[in-house]
Amino acid sequence: MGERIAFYVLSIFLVIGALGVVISKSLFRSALFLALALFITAGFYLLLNAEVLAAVQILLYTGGVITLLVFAIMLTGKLTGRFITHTNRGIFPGLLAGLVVFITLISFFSGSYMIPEKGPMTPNVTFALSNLLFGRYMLAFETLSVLLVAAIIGALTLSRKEE
Amino acid sequence: MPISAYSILAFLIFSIGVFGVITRRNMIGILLSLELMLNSVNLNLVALSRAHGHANGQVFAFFAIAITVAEVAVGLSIAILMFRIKKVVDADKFDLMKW
Repeated sequence: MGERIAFYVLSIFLVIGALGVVISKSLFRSALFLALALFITAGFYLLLNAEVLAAVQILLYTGGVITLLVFAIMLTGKLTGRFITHTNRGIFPGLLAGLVVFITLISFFSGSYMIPEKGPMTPNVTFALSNLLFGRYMLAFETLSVLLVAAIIGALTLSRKEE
Repeated sequence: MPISAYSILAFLIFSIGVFGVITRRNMIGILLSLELMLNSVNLNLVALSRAHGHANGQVFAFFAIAITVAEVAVGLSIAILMFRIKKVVDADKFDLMKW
């Protein structure tokens, strides 16, 4: 019962946040709505027994990505010299594409074989997650650090001022 | 709550993200909508991981989050570079590679 109420409340806020991201006039407000949506998603992770991921979500997304985005919005506002508003164009094709994607996903989903829910999660999810991360997926995990270094170097090279 | 409810919610958020990517003019606005789409996929992964009662899906969501951070860093630096070159915020005006 409690999970059901939490699900409905969280999903209302998540949909509000998502709609705010795509239709808000001010770019800054869009970023704040995105922060709301990402924060609510962390709540969903808690509902789904993924405590570590909820913490990672709040730290990386709401802490890191939103800060980066706000920085970029401020910087571009300063570069263009005026307050950024952004508008939508082609509302009808956008609605059509969104609707088609939604219907396709739903029809694939309802037509596919639904796995029966296999009871509760393994009792210690954090232990299982770390075991997988540093066991079976060790190589992928290490490759990820190489990717992050490459991304940092790429971002620095791109945004550096030309001499 | 059945797992399919979480999946349908994730599909809805993904479709809203598609709408945003197509209709937004501003490049950073497009990036914001892209974040929304990536986030909905993560939600779906975690929900299916719960359905299996196994932490495998959470590992994939973990990797997806880390890769998203790298993508945002590079995407935003490209956006700032384009703003510096073209002095506009409109993604339609970015036609440097068109001939």
